[in-house]
Amino acid sequence: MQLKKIQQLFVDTVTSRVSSVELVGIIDPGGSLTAEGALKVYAMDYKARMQEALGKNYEATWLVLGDDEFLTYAEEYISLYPSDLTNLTSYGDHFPNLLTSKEVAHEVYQMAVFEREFWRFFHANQSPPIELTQEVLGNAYFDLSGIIFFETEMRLDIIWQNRELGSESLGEFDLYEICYLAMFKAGEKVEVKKLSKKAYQLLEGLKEVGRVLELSAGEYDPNEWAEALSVLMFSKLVVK
Amino acid sequence: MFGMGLRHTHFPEILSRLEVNPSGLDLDFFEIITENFFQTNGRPLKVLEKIREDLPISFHGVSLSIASHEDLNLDYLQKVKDLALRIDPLLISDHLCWTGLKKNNLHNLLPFPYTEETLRFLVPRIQKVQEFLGRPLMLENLSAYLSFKESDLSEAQFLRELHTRSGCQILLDINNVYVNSHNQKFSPAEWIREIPPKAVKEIHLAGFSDMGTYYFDTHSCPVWQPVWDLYQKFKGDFPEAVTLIEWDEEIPALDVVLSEVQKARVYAT
Repeated sequence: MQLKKIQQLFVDTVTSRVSSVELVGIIDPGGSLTAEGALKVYAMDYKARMQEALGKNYEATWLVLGDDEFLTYAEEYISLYPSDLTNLTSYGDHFPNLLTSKEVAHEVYQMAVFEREFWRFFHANQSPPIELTQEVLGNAYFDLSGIIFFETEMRLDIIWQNRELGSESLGEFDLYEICYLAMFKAGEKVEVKKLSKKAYQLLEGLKEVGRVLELSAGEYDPNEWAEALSVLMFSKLVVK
Repeated sequence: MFGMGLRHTHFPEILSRLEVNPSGLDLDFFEIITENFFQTNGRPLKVLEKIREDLPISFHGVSLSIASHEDLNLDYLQKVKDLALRIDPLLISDHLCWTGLKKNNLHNLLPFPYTEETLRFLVPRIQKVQEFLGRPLMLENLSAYLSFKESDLSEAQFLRELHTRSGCQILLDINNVYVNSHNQKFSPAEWIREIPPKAVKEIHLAGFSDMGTYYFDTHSCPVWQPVWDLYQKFKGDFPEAVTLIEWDEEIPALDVVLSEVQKARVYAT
């Protein structure tokens, strides 16, 4: 049989988990497996490998969804989005979108976006900093695309930090709270800062309009400016 | 030379121990899964560059898919080449297998028929990869849970022919030979004797799992004694080969892997 045909039959068998009669007829199984059993080894390994990749990238989302729901959605995702990657570290980019089509809480979707963006930042270069001078502060265009904002009713940051402890340990925390988070890369580390509502609005507004002068004058007091600027300084998106 | 697979769970300890004493790990090289460093400009790459200051690094790929019927993935090869320019690896290897189709990568190391036809298909592909990378490619024998009735060569004979015709080097995974010898019922010693000694530039050792109906190559435990026995018996036949301990699942503390490396040193003498 041609290599092309063998490989197509093999992929179809592994992904559908239905053994091709043609393929079964041309293989010798290993060990004391049957031909179908040998093909099943590859099918099970494929499923486990893809689930593991998705599970690693969405560990906290798995925690808040629970095993049954997460694995059901993972199976659907693997079937809808076969990998065209050579490396599974970024597998699952569309997983948050899949969750929007399910009856999951908005915060679960936010948790998935949080994780996707965390890993994107983790593997990204740091954005070049803007030197902060009086003139720059008034006129410069601030490219804050290196900051992701979350307005959420669940402490995504706490769940993320404690994702390896398991769901029982999360019971020790007060997770249901309206909070404002900023995620960014500072040096080699990905940081998540909890902000006051006004500092959050200021930074989100600045991200949208780009220039300090275009923000509504007098809407923010000096403390709110100080808090927002401290995030920009800490993120190394701006330097003195 | 004796090395171990570099895995991110060991990053902090490796860095701190190298900082105290660059030769304190009693290790000659690390090997990376090449693709793990393609899509990162973050901490993993910084750690790799830091470690490279003290120890050589070899590249071991899992996605070249040399035996795929589809065209070679030149974008993939460019990434290998770019990383090689940055790290200057000791060796570059991948597997004698295919891994899926471009639009549906199964991320597994898959067998194919060992025939004259597939030999003729593979030789120019390997030569193209070697020309692209500007250095020899080393290919590893794989563990498999099935074989193809139409094969008229053993995997060892196939590798030997590939080496002769394409100039590729051979990465001899003794654990894979042992797993296959159990699953496919052949003599591992006879299999190894088929391999031309000078072609082998690296030997892999790892642990497998006994699944009852077959042996499964899991890299999740220490090297089994029959694999050590084969290594001890044949290491002298491959004088140019470096030795590597692989451990990819249920990864233990760094010292446990290092103790396996020390065991390899002892068995090699």
